[in-house]
Amino acid sequence: MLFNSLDFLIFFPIVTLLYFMLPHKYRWLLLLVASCIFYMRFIPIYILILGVTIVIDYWAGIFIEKSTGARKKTYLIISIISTCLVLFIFKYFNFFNSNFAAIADFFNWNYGISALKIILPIGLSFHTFQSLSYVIEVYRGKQKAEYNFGIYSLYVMFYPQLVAGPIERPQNLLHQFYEKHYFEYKRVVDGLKIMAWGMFKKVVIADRLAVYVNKIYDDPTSYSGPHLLLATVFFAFQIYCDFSGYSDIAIGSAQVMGFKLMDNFNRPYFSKSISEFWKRWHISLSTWFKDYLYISLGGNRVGYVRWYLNLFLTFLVSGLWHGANWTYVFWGALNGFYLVFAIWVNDYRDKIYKKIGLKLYPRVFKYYQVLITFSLVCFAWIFFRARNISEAFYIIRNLFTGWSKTMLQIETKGLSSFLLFDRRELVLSFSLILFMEFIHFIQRHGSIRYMLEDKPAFVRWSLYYSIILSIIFFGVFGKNQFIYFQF
Amino acid sequence: MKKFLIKFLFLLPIGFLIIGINCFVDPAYLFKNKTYEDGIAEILSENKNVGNVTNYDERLVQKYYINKMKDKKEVVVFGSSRCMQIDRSFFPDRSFFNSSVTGATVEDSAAIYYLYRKNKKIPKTIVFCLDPWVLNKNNEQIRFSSLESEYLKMLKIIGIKNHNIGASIIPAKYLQVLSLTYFQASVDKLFDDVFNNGRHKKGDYFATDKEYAEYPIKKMDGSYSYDLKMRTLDYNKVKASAAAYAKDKNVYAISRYDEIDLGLKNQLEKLIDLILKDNVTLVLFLPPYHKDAFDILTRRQDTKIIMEAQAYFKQLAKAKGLIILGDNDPSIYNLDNEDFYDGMHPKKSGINKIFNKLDANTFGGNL
Repeated sequence: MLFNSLDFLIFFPIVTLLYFMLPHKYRWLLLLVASCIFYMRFIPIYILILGVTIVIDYWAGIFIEKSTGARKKTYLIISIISTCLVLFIFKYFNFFNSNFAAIADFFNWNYGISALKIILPIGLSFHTFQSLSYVIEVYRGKQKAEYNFGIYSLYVMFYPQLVAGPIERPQNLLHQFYEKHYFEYKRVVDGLKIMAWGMFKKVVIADRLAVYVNKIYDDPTSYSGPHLLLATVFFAFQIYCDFSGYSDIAIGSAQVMGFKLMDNFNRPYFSKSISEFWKRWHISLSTWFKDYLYISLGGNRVGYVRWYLNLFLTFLVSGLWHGANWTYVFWGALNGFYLVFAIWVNDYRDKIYKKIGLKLYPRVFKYYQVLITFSLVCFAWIFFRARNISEAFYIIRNLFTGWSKTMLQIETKGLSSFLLFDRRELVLSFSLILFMEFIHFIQRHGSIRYMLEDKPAFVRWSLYYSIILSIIFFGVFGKNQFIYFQF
Repeated sequence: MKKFLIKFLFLLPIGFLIIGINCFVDPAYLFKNKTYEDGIAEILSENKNVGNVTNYDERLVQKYYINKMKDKKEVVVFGSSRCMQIDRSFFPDRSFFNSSVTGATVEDSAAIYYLYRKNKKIPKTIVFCLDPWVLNKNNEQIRFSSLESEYLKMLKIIGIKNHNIGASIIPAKYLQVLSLTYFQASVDKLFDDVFNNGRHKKGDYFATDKEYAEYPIKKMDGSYSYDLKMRTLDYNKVKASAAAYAKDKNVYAISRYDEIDLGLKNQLEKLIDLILKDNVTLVLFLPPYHKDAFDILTRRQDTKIIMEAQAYFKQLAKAKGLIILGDNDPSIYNLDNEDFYDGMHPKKSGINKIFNKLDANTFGGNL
C-alpha cells in the first residue's frame, strides 16, 4: 500500500479511529493486523519471509539474554547470519552470481548457476536492519529481550515505518507499544501537519521532478550538458523530497497514534561538509552503520590508516545496502572517499582559507561551504541514479559539453526549443524547490509549526489550505512508488 | 476529540470541491447517463462518421452499437488501437466493422464476442489482433470493467471460474469521484472550455461525412482517423517518439511483464476454441512495432518477453490451423518510419503491406 494512494487515505483513518476506540490491551493486536494488511497489499506471500525472520530473531533475543559467554555469541551469530542470508538471497544473489558468471565467461570456465527468478520483498533492507539492531542491543545488554511475540512482531512490522524506515532502535520503539496513548488534540494535529508536508514534498515536488529526471537519465546519450546538469540537480531534490516525504508521512502517522519515531532528515542540503551531510541525511541508517559497523571495526580509536579504512568500508557497505548494482557501490565508495579526503586535507584546507581570508567573512564562508558540499553530493548522486557505471561516466564526461550549442539554440529558436517540457512546468519546479528551501531556511531556528502557533487563525488556515490545495492541483498522481521502496 | 472533529469540518469544503468538480465537469463522461456513448453508437449505426470524439468509454460504445446492429457483419476486427486503422477498404464488397478498443485485453475481446453472440450477430470472419500485453497479468488495463458482466458471462460459457473479480458493489469508475488525477483532468477541461478559442470543445461530438479532419474521427466502420496534428507529424519526431516510447521505464502495458500468464493463456485458447466452434473464420494479426522501438524492446531484459508472447501466438495458430499475419518486427513486412504514427501504432499504409501478403483464396474465398 502506498502512502500516496486512495487505499491509504481510507486505511489510515479507520485504523487510527479503531486504535483510539479499542481498550489499550487490544491495541497492539489491531496495529499488528493493520500492519499485516498494509504489507500484504504489495506481494501477500512475502509476509511469510517476514514471519520467518521475526520468529528467528524473537527466539534469538531470548536465547541471547539467557546465555553467557561463547553460547551467547553463537546465538547472535546465528541470528545475524540467518537474517542476512535472507537479505542476500533476495537482494544480492543475482548480483554476485552475474558477476561471477562474467568472470567465468572471461576465463572460459564452466559456470552453471542460473539466476533466481524472485522479486525483492518490499522493505527487506529496512526491517532486516531493524531486527539486527534488536539482537545486537540485547547482546550488548542495552535492551531486554521481548518475550511477547506479538509485541516483538509489531516492533518489526509497525506499518508507518515498515517498508522504508526510519530504522528504529528497540530502546526507542519497543516500550512505546506498552504505553497507553490518549487522543491529544495538539499531538494529533501536529502529526497530520507533518503528514501533509510529507505528502506535499512527495507528490508535488518529487514526482514532478521525476518526470524530467527519468526522461534524461533513462536515455542520457540523447541529451547535452545543460540537460544532464539540470537533471542531476533535480534528482538531488527529487530523492530528498521523495525519501524525506515518506519519512514525514511515517513519522506523522505514528505521531497521530501517539508513537514517537526518530527524525530521519535535518535540512541536509544546508550541510557545510560531507561529514555534516551524513549527520543530516537518512539519520536512522547512518547512525545504524556508525553504531553497528563503524564502531565495531574500531571507529576512530585506531591508527590513521585503519581509521580511514573503517570509514571507507562503512560507506562501501552502505552503498551496497542501497542496491545490488555497481553504481551504488561506487556511490558509497565515493562518499567514503570524500570523508577520508576531507580529514586528510583538513589542516591544509584551513591554512588556505586563512591565507585567502575567506574565514574573515563567516557568512560568505558558510555559503561557500554549503555550495561545495551540495556540489559534491550532486556529483555522487549521478552514480546513485544512473542505470549503470558506463552511463554514469558518460554523464560526468558530458556535463559541461554542448553549452555553447545550447545557448545558440536558445538564442535562435527560443527557450522552448531547449526545454523538454512546458515552460510553466519548469518555472513551477524551480519555484517549488525554492519554496521548500525557504521553509528549511526559516526552520533553522525551530520548527515552522511552533512559529505558526501564535499566529492568527486565518494565517494558519490559509497556509493549511494552500498546502492541501497545492497537493490537489499540482500533485503528480499515479502509481509512483517511493524511491527507497527498491531497497 | 470534539475540538478535532469541529476543526475537521473546515476541511470538508475541499472534499466537496473535488467531488463537485469531478461530477460536474466529468471529462470522461463517467457520471453522465448512458446517452453520451449511446449517442456515438447511434450515429455509427446510422452509417455516419463521428467527429471530435474523445474521452468516451469505447467499451460502452461497442456494447450499444452491437445491441443496435440490424444485420450481421461479414468481417469484424477485435483488438487494440494498434488495429484501428483496419477499415472496410481491406475487405471490399464485404460488410465490415472494427470492434477494436484502446488497450484491448483478452477480457475485452471475450466481452465483445459475448455481445455479438448474445445478439446473434456472430460474424463470418474475425481478424483477431493480438498485442503482447494480452498475456501480461500486470498490464494494468482495467477498462474491460465497463463490460464486466458480459466478460463474466463469457467466462461461464467457456467454462472458466474466475476468483479475482465478481460483481463490484461500486463500479470502479464511480470511485473516480474521489480521484485527484480525475480532478486535475476536470480542471484542465474546465480551462479548455473557457479558453477554447472557438475550437471544438473536447467531448462535443457530431455526425460528419468527413473521414479525415483536424479533429479525430470514429468512422462508421469502427476504424479511427487521428487528428491532423497526429497524421502530419514530422517523420523525425515520429522516429524520436518511437525511441522515447521504448526507452520509457514503464512501457505501456508491458512493464512488469515477468511471465506469460497461464490464466490469460487459458482464457485466450478457450475463447478461440469457442469462436472456431461457432464456425467463424479466424485470422490472427500481430501488429508491428516501429523499428526503433522494436530494437530497443527486444534488447531490454524487462520487455524482450514480447517475442516469447509472439512465439506463443504463432504456435497457437499452428496448433489450431489458423492463418497468422504480422510480426512485432516491422522489417519482416518492409514497414519503415513512414508507416508509423509512433512507436507502436502502424498507419494504414503499414497494415496494407501486411495484408497484401494474404492470399484471398486461402480461405476458399471466405475472407
